[in-house]
Amino acid sequence: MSSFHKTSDSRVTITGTKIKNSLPIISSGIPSLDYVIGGGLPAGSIFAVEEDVLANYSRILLKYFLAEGVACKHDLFIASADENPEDISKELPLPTTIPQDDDLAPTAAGIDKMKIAWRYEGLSQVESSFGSTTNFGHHFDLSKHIEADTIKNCNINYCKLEMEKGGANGFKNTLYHKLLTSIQELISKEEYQSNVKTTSNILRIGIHSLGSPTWMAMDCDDDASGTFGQDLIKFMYCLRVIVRDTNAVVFVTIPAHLFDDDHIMKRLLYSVDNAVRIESFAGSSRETNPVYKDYHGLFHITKLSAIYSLVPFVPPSLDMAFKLKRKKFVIEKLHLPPELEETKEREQDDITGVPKVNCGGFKKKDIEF
Amino acid sequence: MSADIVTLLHLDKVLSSKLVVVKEINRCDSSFVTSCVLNYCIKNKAAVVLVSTHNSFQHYQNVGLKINYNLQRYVDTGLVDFFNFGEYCINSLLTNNKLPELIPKIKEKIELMRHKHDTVNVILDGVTHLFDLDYSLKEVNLFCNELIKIVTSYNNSFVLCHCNEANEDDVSYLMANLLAHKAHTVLEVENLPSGWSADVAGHLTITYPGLKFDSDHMHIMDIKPSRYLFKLFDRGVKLFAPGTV
Repeated sequence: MSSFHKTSDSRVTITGTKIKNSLPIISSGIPSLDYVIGGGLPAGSIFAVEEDVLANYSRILLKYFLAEGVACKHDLFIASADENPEDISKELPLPTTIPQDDDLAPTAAGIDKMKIAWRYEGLSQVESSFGSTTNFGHHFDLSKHIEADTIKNCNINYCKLEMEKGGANGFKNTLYHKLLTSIQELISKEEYQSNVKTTSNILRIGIHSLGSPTWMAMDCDDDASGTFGQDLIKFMYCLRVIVRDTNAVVFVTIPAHLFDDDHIMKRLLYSVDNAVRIESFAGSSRETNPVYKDYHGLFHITKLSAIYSLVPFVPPSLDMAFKLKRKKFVIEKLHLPPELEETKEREQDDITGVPKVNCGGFKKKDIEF
Repeated sequence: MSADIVTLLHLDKVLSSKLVVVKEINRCDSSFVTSCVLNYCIKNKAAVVLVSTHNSFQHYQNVGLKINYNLQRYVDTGLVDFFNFGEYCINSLLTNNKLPELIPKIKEKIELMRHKHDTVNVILDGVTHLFDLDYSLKEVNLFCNELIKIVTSYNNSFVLCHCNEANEDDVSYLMANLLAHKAHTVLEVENLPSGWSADVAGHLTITYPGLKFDSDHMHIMDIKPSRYLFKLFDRGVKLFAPGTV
């Protein structure tokens, strides 16, 4: 008999998870987002989304994250100070069974198929959208909501944060203390501890608009202006320590564009594990810019960290954009549109607002190694 | 693959004050240095107190298994002591409404280890998180001074501090520089400014302020730093000279 035994992972696999680096990871509800951050969100980690100016798309991302939890029968915890968290749960998108591809309308049968020049026939099709082949996670229809009965049957904890009188241990702002103790109490339950083998489940914690003016209003009446945002930084670090090595995943949206002091976000990023930033075109000059006409905004990855491993994930591209369809939120590699019209000057050259993104614009001083 | 880093840090030399400071610039993660140094200490049977605020024990355990050591085994035998300092502080903050004093608990652990081992090294992972918890610059600076004094005075032990630099006008930057001023070795790890690359994880710069008064460097104002590129693997880290990737 061989003396070698394979040590099988005795951890019971939880629905809607897969194992990477001996750590369960879950889907964010958007296959292309999972792909660009390295497969999904690891258990015991914090994922931060820096909100777009109108907070439309970050809210959709949060809804996807929570809806994926409902579809996988995970437990949810929803917290918000700006609105009633029960309202957020009422708007969760409905899972669709078949992955929809609603961008190609069926063409009329009579029209001949376009013939591809022979020299390009051998090339594989360019795939600019990420994660379209994966079967991890669900697809959702944003136009339909999950029924109220289904939501009722799920194990959802709501945390409506309201201003209360009285002291708070360790924090100037009672909201942070209340949220932190609610999360701590919930996580201490046996089923969310990672070393428990049976009856374990994933806890998805969704925090909407953390640090928005509703939160901030309460720690700025202090005399020392240097402490502005300190409670937020402290909260994030405490949250990091509390969720580490548990089966909880935190998804938090932060309106970072409202902080006039940019060191707050930089300090927060040290405590956060993975972070992305959404830059929506709505309301900016880029909305009408033909360069970006296929997209709704740019998608930036700000931080990726390796948990239980040394090697961090390297995203496939750094120039990314997103578009929102009725049944899909897609993150794609940013492509400039093809130049089809035969004008003397290229159309893009007329545009006064030159896009910031670099597509091939490369100077010698940019070379790093 | 951890030998390169350990050689660079001069851990094998006998020095009067062995303080190694690792600065994390541009959101770079320097936990690979801790894993490599743990590997070195375990091989040489040198005792370590790992005071961590940033990463959990499970992280170092899983990384260690890939590098080829079982951290849990050495914790059980008493060669390594893992102290989850972040959890200790937060528990005290939320239950007693006050931050604990920094030095006594760690001092106690070091002295306990000294009964059995000749050298007791300390790795302080995430000094910057102390500012997140609302400790003042004075408190953190006093704590670091005291810790360095306690550890390095004893049988050629070393202290390894990880500092994150959030911003140039931030308190974390100031603290990193204060420590670097006292250090024998300063290691700066930096992510590529333009983003990520599959070929290289980032830049690594090493300086030895401790060698300033060596006969070789007596007539030079600033010692020239050595620059490398590093790439991370499951089993460790590889260093490259710039331009050789």
